[in-house]
Amino acid sequence: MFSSIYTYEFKQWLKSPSPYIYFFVFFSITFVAFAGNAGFFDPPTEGDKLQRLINSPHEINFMMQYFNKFFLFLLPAIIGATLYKDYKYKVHSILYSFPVRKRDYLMGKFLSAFTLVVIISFSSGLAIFLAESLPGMDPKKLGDFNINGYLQTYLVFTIPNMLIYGAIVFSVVAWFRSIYTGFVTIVLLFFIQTITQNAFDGNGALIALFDPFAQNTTQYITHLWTLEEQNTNMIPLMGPVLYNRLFWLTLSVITFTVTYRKFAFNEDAPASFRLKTKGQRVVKNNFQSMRNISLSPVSYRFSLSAQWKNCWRLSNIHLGYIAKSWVFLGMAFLGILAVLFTLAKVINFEEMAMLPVTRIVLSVPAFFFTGIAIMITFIYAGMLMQRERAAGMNQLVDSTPVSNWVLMLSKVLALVKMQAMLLLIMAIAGISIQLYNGYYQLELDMYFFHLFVVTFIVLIIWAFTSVFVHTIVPNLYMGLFILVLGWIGFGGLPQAGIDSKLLLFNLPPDLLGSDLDGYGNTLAPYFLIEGYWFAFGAILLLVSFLLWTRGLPENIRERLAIARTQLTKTVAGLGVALVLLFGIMGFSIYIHKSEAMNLTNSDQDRIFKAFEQEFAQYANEPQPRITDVNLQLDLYPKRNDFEAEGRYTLVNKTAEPINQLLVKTGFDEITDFQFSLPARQMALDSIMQFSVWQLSDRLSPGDSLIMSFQIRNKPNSFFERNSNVLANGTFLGSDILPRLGYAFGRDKKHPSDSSSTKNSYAAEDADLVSFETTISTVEGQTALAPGYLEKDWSEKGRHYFRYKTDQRIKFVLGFNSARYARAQDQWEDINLEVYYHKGHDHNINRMLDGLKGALSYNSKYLGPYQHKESRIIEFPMTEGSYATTMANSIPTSEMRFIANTNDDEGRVDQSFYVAAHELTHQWWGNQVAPADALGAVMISESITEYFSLRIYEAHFGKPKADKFLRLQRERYLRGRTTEQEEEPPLQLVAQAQQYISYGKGAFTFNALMHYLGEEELNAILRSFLEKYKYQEAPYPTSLNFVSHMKEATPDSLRYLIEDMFEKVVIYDNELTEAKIADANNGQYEASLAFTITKQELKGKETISPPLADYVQIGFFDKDDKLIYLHAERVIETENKLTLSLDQKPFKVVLDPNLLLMDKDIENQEINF
Amino acid sequence: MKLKIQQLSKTYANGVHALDQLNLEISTGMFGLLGPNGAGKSTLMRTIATLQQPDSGEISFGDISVLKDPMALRRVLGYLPQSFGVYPKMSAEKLLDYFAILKGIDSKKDRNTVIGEVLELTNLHEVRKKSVSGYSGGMKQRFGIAQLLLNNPRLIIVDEPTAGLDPAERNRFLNVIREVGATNTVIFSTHIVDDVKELCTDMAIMNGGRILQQLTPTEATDRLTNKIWVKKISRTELNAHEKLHTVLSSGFNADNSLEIRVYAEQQPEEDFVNTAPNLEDAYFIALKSDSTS
Repeated sequence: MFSSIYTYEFKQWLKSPSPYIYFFVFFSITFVAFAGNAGFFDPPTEGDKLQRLINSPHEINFMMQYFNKFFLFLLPAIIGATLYKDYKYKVHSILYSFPVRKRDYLMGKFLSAFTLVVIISFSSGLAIFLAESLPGMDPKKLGDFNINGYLQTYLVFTIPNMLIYGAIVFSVVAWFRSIYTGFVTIVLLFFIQTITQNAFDGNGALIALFDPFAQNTTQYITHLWTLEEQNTNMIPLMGPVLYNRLFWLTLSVITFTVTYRKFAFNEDAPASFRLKTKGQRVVKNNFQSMRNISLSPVSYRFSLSAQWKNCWRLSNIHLGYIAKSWVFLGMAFLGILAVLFTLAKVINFEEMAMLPVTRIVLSVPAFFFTGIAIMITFIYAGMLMQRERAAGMNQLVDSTPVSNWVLMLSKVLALVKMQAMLLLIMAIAGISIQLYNGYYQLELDMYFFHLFVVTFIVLIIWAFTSVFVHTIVPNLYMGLFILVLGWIGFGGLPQAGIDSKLLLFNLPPDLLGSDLDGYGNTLAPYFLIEGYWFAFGAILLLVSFLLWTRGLPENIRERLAIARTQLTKTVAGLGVALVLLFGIMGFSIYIHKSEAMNLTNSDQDRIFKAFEQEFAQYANEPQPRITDVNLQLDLYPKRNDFEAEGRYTLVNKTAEPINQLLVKTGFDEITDFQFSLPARQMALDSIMQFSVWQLSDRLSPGDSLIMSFQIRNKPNSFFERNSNVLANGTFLGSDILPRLGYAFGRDKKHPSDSSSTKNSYAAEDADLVSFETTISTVEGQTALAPGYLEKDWSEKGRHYFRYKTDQRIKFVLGFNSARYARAQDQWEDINLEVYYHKGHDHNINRMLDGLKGALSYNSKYLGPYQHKESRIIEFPMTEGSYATTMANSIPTSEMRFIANTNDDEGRVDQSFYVAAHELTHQWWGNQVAPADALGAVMISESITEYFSLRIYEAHFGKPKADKFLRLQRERYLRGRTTEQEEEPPLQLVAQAQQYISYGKGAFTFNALMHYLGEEELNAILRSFLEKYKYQEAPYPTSLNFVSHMKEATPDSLRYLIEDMFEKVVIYDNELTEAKIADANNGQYEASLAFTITKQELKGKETISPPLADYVQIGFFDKDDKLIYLHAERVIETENKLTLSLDQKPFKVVLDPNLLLMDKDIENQEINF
Repeated sequence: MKLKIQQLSKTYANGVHALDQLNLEISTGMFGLLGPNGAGKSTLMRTIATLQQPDSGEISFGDISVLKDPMALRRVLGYLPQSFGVYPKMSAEKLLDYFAILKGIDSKKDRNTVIGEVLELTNLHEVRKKSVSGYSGGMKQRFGIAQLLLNNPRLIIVDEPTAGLDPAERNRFLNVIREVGATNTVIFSTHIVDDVKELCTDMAIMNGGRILQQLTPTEATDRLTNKIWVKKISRTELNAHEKLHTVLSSGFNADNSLEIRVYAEQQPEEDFVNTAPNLEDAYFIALKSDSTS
């Protein structure tokens, strides 16, 4: 019996087209995605950088995890449907009276459907397998074929997932006898994943255990793998993966078993969730007299206004149906949970926690919620469209005198009202969270605009589309499948290189916004694009109206015939109008788009190659240096334009005469320039904005000339702004200015190359410069530039500011203008100022504290601060999330102003830290400027980061500083996992490798401090600083620094300097055993066993150098206070140690001060 | 008002001629449409009720051209399909309000009045707050009548409404229909001859997509006076008799013998006894003559 049910079911499926469609769809998507990732559509990668191998077991698993999620939707569609169809067609009434055994029926059905689902899931594996041997793939991204990757993915993840969730879906459908519940189950699982991710944030092990799909489990295991490891290693199955699979399998088996036990061949679904009311004997009145029928006369109205009113009323009835259904309530509730959790993550994110300001609430959390709202729209569009039919009421409704458009629009309206309801829920949830977190600046207007205008359009267009799809596709489940696929598919198109706004359905550009500048000028393009899609949606709706299923049309031919009768003049007119509107908007998008020059990557490559061929010959031409800068800058915030006029003094600081001048002007600017000496243009590349000038008389060493220039930005277009001038919150950088010399495509030099010391890391065409500027802006805004304000005045409705530096500065300039509020403070005789956006005053005091902390610590250890004032200037988050130092200015992103610095939850105070870090750059970066070579940022960033840590400790105490240190360690370990190059030692760190310069840098100098002592290390650093203070060429390199360190440290620690700066060393230590015994004399004896493994990365090799390292062991009491610290010089890997203590310790920690870089420190602690 | 059907044809995709050049004229009063299962009754009813498109033909009701202006017909139409469901978990009152909106009753007050009246008429007042999906078969049919009455229809189509009702429910149902039929055109399709006998002023017998016969029930039986004969036979003799005579029907007696009814102009055999014709005889004669022709 079992086998006949099994084969019967299976054959039934093979007769229907859907399995083939599913197989084909998954196969094609995977094939294209894989080929795309493997560089099929791109030119092959050049250079010898290590690439991520796309067919390594790790990557195949990674990719398949993604497709697994799609496969899950097959579970209700096939495993659920196999059971559901018996209920749907009421076969169960007959079938369940047959002598079929429960076991055969359930198992036969389940296993046949499960087999089918597994076969369909092979589509993706097959696609990857075939794509691996596709010609034209990037050989650097493709490793050798490895069957184990496939086997592991399928046997451990894909097939078990299908089994686990297939059984659950099957059970749920058996309980509720509704296919929807199966679908909803899958959606719930997705939410559970999101929720576990957020609820257990910071506890990777729990996320790994409870992730339903084991996606985060592998992520947890592999997140510190370097590229090399990702390319070669298999995912270890013991541990988290095994536990995760067992946990969910158990849950699934329990669900299935309970269902199996309770399942009965009954006509009706078990009423387990309804309370039974007390039984009652019911007898109806079987006898009745005659009646007269005369109904009171009432009026029947069919006017247009009456129909609209009816439409509204009907939509309310539909809305009531949605709002009362538990699927809707459940999904909305989970949506809110997802919002809460994503927001909790944002406001607690360790590296940059944010305050729950409205803009933040409306970003990631609202994005999540919108996704859920779209999903609910898909589902309920289907439910509403099928509502009469599913209830069997369609014939009654269809024979009433109600127009098709009333029926259709009532459903569309119900969906739109439902969306409005969801948006309102979102707003209420957002406001509640803000209040709960003590944030009281309610910006109701922003909620309204963002949710009910900006987001609503997207949702409404999806409502139109869903109604259309569910009209065209009578099978509800197929309709849902198409919608979800379309939604995700269109979202994925930009990654496949299709980014024409005319094709990306209902995918408006991201609305970047800041509190300073609002939506800026992104709003108009947004509405044009959404207007375009709205017109398209309306056309779809019109087609839905024509094809509306009224009555019982037999086939598509009949539906088309009905459509023709529906096509009245009004409808046709409306159609033509909509098509025209759609066309006009599409055309104007097209026109506006082509206004902006859009170069693809390969275009850029080609242009640059051609440029290089012609101009690389000038690369080593000696150039004069900019010594004085004088600038007149006029900002026009309303129209996002600026105009500038300026003058450079150029001095020949070389020892040879100069004949040619190489000038590079800004990409987005139109620049004219003249020289005070006669010169003739010899060559010009107008795209690269690069020109070569021949001086009539050569410029002798020591001689100078004046270069004058006039700059304005290229005209702004509808979609593109060509300047960084914003209506409020302008932040222009030195990139608008003309520069000298050929500074393209050169790798940083090795510090041992003496030519690298000619320039500082800040500029190739200038050492320190004198700078003065007059900057003007609209009345009401404050314009800021480096230097001290000499005077400001108003003239013709504009406000002018004159700034001048009293000493020479690095040639790194920034210009800000906004309606600023100002906070002021003082440290000794130094003026401290913060220019901020009104309302962003949450962290001002912390920033001022940061400045003061840095001034006091650094002045004590490094000497005086060189300026009379320091000012922090806020710029909009659309311009970046960083902070930087420009003479006495510290332009700082809005993000730092709305950082969540509430330190009761152990967050790192980003506002304090950033201010302290940037001010410390006055010593490390400005007083001493490193040479333009690898390792430069070790001097500027690593040391700065070390001082920031000290300043942080001095202000907040050690536990919080430790937290900060742990973050730096993680930053390094995580950063390594995406490194494509060979990882350099600290002294050769490149500018982009922030994980080394900041993360490892802070960790290393902190360790060094523990070995040497704080005073001692700071004294060594100070002597280096003094030695190179304000030095121009030759600028100091990291090698100068390391030899300085070596000279200043005792020989016993020489190995440390080498390990830290010259090598890449990683430890893998473990505390294996720890016992405490009472030695009877008031002493305690601790016996420990631990292993120390030291590894050095040498090129692609990993070697184990001999050990002779100092290792610390710390004993702590119950309050986490250190009671005894022991240092041991370790020579062997395996170590045993007995120590005597005069106090009973609570726990022992190997390397408690984090001196040794170890990937896993969870195994270095034992509690007694 | 007269319902006129001319040359109505409909062929389904599976090749069945559900309607075959059908002509029919129906005046005010109760009209019974009698036919076996699969005769095309439901197709005809649904086509009149604007739910299906015929391949060809004309339907008019008074001066309404049904196929050209279905909406005009829907305004005066009350339709009760053979089987129907309702939105689950909605009370009779709420559902009727929904239908009243669909049927164009604009004012809330008017809706409440009419709904109260139809609930009273169909004896559903007491259970108006209960959800219709939980009603018994009879109650549900009465609800069907209630929704049908909301727009005070001039043309009422009820498709096999009494199937599955207990005798009391059936009587109640027929009484209501009778009342409505006094002033309106009611088309009542059924395969139960007694329904027509009790109710209809006019009738037609339909099979294979055609109208076989259209006349009043009395005419139908009157034409058969002295032409219906009965005989008591044993079970084994039935086949032999069927070969010789036009056997219309047979029924068992308590002693397990059979009583057969035969149609013949004269007494076929000596032991046949003349009996009064009934409507069922007329129905079977029409069907037999159709299958032999």
